[in-house]
Amino acid sequence: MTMDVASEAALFSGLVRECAAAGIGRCVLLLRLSSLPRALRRPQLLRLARDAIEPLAQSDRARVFRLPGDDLAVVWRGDAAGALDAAIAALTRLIESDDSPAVPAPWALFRLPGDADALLALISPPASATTSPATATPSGELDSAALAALETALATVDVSRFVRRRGVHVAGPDASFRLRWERRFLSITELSEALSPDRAVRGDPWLFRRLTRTLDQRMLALLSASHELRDAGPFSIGLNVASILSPGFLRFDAALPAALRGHVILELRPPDVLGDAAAFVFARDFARARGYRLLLCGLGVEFLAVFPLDRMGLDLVALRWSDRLNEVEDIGPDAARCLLRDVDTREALTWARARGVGFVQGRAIDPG
Amino acid sequence: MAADQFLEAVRRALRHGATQVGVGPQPAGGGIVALVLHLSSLRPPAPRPHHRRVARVILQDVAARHAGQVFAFANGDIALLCEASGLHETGRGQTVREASAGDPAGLPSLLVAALTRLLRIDTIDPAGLISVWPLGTDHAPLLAYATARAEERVVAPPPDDEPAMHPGVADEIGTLIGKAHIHDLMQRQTAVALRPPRDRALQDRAIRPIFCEVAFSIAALTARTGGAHAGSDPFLFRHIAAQLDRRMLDFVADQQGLAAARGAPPLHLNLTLGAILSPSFAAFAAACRAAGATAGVEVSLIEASADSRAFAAARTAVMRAGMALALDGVSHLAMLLAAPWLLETDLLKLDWSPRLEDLPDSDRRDMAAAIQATGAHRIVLQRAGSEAAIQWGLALGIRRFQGRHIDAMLGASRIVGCALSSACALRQCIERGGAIGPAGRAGCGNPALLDAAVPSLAWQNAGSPAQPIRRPLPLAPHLTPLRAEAAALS
Repeated sequence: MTMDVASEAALFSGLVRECAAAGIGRCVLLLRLSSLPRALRRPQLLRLARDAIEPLAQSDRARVFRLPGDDLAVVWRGDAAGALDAAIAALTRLIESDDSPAVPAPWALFRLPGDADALLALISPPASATTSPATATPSGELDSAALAALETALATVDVSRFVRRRGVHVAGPDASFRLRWERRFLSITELSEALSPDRAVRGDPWLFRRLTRTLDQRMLALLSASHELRDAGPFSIGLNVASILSPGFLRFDAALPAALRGHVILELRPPDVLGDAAAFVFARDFARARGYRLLLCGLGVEFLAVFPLDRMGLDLVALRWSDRLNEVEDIGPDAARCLLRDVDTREALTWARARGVGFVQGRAIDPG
Repeated sequence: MAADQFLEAVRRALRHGATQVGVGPQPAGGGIVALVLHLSSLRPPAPRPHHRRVARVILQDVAARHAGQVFAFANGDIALLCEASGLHETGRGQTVREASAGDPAGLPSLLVAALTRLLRIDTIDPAGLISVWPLGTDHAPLLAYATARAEERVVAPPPDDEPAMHPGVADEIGTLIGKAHIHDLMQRQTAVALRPPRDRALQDRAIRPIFCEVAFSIAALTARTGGAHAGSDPFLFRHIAAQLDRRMLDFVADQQGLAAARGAPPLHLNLTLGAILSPSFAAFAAACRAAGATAGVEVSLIEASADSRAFAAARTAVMRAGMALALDGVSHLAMLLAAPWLLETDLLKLDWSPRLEDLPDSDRRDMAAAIQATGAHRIVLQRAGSEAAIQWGLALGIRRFQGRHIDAMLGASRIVGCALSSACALRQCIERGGAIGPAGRAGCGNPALLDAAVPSLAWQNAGSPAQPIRRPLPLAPHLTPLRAEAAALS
């Protein structure tokens, strides 16, 4: 049984106090991923960071503690300068990149017992965070065994309570917005809390991509139920190419009310499209013949030119808002067919308007 | 079963003057038409289960509106037998122009158009996969076809679904690489630059090794995991790759023979973005520098496309390490659909496919343009398993190649120059040339020649695989700034 994060954090502060009280010499590298800007906090960052500190974790008496908010602490004894150097170099590569302003390094080194007070001041969270199980973060990543278990569990669970909808709006000429379609998706956060509370299902991006195939089938089954789409308006769903070619999609297609045909958008992702390009082209042509429109999502702004919509035979492309988009002046010829997600601030909305972005989604337009 | 029913239905329709399919309510008037989709004529890997599934749905859709019936045969073909009249209507409120003069039954132009459009990705002549036989006219070919299907004895019908790879295989492989001698799971392959006679002076070599790729052998992994094809699920395989490449980096960096690679063509390693951004890569780069060996890194297009920021960081890390970066696994479809050359890698490894020989004209033009946009000099045509691949590449200005045909060329040149070659067949020399572990090289009496075109790593010294690398690294220069940051944080 894996220990939860709150328990590990408590154990860690206990160890720090013990070192201080007994005068035991230890080094601590505190890695505060939670202090990084949101744009840098990619889903796999925690895993990459764990890999980066691996040399330290092999030092004498070394132990890694997980702390709330994806923070980590490594404790070891004695001099491990070589390993520390390798870990810091790897961490530096993780957070630096050519296209974003430098961020302060989110790590700090402490020597116990001398630095114990400073360290304790940093890691002592509000009382509720360590005691309430509701705020405990997942303690482990999704591994292949957990993935297999989750796939089995998903086959029988009623996922309807995890379905969420978000409005996608089109900008009118007079600063107004009209709802154009709704994005329907399963809340991965809530679903994993319910089914796999001790695993970060997005921790390994490739195992998560694999999991989405099972999620696709559950979503398609849900939407194929006779009552589900009776009064539905235009909507979009994310699917894998293999899912579009599956019996589940064919059943969904057969059950789709006539009024909705031509008003459903399927969202695809680049690695999936390229993973089996022949199947993608077949699925694309089939879906378009059946009246679906296709949207490419999950790509960074720097890849817009790598996946031109017309060349791909797709209709729309989606980007996520992040601060670094501020540096992008022109998003190219596909701007009018671009959807900007996470438009939660006026800044994002202003950016979208100035670049001629066709569709927006986020709390700045739709507080619900 | 379906074939017997089809033959019976055809005979019945003929008995009724070709006006009734024989099932359901029959509208009066109009002839019966049979449409056969010869999916069994597609070239492997097609037809895949989705071809049959989707085609069946399309034909059933038509059957439902035209008092028809669909038959799926054991050889993978699918037939539709239905009322011909009104088939030019699509049933979705659209109509198309009347059938052309060459289409005697007023036939299903939209249906044929829809099917040919769908199948053009899998064959150059999708129309050739479709037979339309109106029953009222010459029905001999239809009867012959139906009889052939009914008499056919197929041992196993085509599968309804491609076998899914169970996530447990990833664990098996993880365990395997922890236990096995890692060099037995790896292979190497030399890429070369070819110079056609018109491009070179008399004294230039026609074939020059440019790098040697070291990679895990999918075949070796598959053989050790109970036959579950290790590469069949691209997502699961990327997950497995992340486990594999750390081990490979540590293994290669730890080889004493790296020093012997000085002056040899660079080693190329296929890595995940996570591995490039890990300390193992930094250690590998340092080991290469210390040994004076050159190396290159290959990143698959799928891997790159999943995370643009990690890709940018990895490209920078590889560049700073003084290595070349190759974009690996670029299919010709990826070249036609996307613009992978904009990822600005030093090399782009294009997968050879026999489909490239018979692309439709528009795709042929687009492919030539994509190669020009990339720069033919940056392209390595890989999986070049035949003379045709080499000829295709050379005609488009590509000069760099990798694949089994190149292995054979290098093997043949070794055989010619080897005093002990009478003991070996060319095939053995080729296989041994690709092996890394001693088991795969056993039988060669001239290992120096076996390694002559490639960096000769001291693979035979490879010890127990579970040893992490331990080499002295400079003292941490970051300690002082860290103390300052710690103070700032508190």
